[in-house]
Amino acid sequence: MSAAEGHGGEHHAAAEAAGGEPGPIEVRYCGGCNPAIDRVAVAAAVAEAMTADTAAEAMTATAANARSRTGGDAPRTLFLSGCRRACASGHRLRVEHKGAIVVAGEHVDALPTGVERIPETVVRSLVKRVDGPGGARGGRATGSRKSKE
Amino acid sequence: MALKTPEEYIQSIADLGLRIYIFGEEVEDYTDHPIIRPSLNCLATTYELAGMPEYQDLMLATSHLSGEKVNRFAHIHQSTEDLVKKVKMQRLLGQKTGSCFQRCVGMDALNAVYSVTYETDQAKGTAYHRRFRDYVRFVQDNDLTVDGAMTDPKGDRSLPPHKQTDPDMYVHVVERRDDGIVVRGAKAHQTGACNSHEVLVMPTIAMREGDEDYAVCFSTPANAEGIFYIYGRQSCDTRKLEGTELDVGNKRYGGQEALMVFEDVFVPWERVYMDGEIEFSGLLVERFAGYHRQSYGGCKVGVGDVLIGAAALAAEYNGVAKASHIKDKLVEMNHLNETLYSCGIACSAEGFCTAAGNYQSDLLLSNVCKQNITRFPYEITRLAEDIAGGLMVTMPSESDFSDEKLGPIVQKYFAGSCDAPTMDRMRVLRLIENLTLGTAAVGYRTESLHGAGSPQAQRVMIARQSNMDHKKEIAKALAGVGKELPKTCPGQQEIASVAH
Repeated sequence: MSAAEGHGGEHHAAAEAAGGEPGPIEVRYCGGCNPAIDRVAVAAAVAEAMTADTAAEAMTATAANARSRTGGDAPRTLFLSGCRRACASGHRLRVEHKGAIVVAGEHVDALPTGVERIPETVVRSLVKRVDGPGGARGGRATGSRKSKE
Repeated sequence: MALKTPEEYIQSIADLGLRIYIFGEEVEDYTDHPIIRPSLNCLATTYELAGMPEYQDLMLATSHLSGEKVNRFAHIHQSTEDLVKKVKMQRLLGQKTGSCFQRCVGMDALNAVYSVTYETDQAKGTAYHRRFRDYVRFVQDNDLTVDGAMTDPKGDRSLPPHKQTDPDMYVHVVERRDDGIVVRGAKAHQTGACNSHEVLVMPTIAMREGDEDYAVCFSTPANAEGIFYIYGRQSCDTRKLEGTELDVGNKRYGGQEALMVFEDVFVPWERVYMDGEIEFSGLLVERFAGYHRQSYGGCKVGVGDVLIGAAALAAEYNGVAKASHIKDKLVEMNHLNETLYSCGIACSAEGFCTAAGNYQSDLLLSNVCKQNITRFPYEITRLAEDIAGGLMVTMPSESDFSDEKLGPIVQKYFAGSCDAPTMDRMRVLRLIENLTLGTAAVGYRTESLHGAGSPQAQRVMIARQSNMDHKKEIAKALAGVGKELPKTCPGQQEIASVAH
């Protein structure tokens, strides 16, 4: 179940139980009937903006219910809608779950964001949500695999 | 079973060995025929987008029969959200193809027959619904394209089917056997018939006593023995035989209509979903029409998006984009187009659950949607032609632009804004021509007028559904109809006291 369907609490609990491991990010696209932004390009730019060693594992682009490689639901979901109608997130510009980020046209989590700044805003948001406000892990949260080795 | 790729789809149509006639001759390799292939490409796009994650939220749905993801064109709508997504999917496809993409009729037929077979069984004790569920499952599992075949040639419209001079003016049963029925007749204006795996035949009008043999609904493979197709001509269709790119406007995509003839076609009972139940024929027509009139609030809007974009480009390339009247015309085009979309969304959001469990679009609003569709594309095309200018219908051919001697001359004299290459300007103008009076105008204009029923048909439905009794009651309540006036009104007492 996706956060948009009201089961985001399960994602949140899973992330905490696993010690806050960042894990893969599920991308949920809208259907693309009114694109004010290039959703695929935004998803690719977000992946690129993350550290190289985790980008390939982190992004699983699917419009259906994706499963992470850990076998459970992805703890973080990027709802990527082409316009402010926000169909991918049930017409909500913001989803009140720790693991959910909503891009809807030129908005990130309901805040107007120019298209060129969307990827960095999404990544910054992801880092903040995994590391917490103090950035306890240091560096990007998505670099956790390598930093642990 | 896995969803088909577009290549698999095209090959599967080629493998059917359909009997298709065009310009008086049977076509051997119809999937590569230059007039037919653009329409096939449209259908292929419905398969292509279903395989792309960024479109799957609209293109796919979860089957209530199998639990698997299926192409939405084979889906039985389970919610108003499904109805809304249907319209959005159609808008998306209209944008991608700039054409009638033909798969909607089958989807609408599947949903209409689904609910009507259920209700027929409930009333008559027949077994149609179980058969039809099995058929839907077959279509979904094999990711098939279904042609929804409703419109009969009809002959003398003042006479019922069984009184026609030629009994074949409506498809009808000519023989009933232990193992099935034999049917004869034809279905006209069949959109996408030659690009379909299956045909789902429905009656075209409410049948009355005496018309029992005409109250027939069945499915058949598109290549069943006895079926053949006579391809319909479209405006500017032979340009597709010239091998050009510029002159056709939209090289990749196009629509298709055909006359589908049934010469004593055998249909096994397992594929029969109505046989003589005249009381339910009208309901089937009404529900199919409701769905199909809803559809236009998506598909024509998507094509409208393309035309509006082309008009805006033409304005830029002509160097008039900043003129206030041009801006206002584009605003008007968008206003009209989004009004159509609003109707498509409204009739979807206000849909209802049938006894069978699938969702039907609101019938009043579906008919309002289609009634607007019969008018607004005409105004949108008029504004597009206004903006484009007369050159769209007078410009030279691609051969002239490619000619060593003539090319530089036509490039020089047809240059527009210095920011745009002349050829880009020509391409956009040809696209507008294609949509407003070329092959795509068949789908965008005339089909907007007559598809899913001619304008008067919607007006009949609007009249029936408008709940005039309620409207009269609320007017009466506010006007005080039926109430006695007071013996002396307060104003009269005051005047009397002042006068004295």
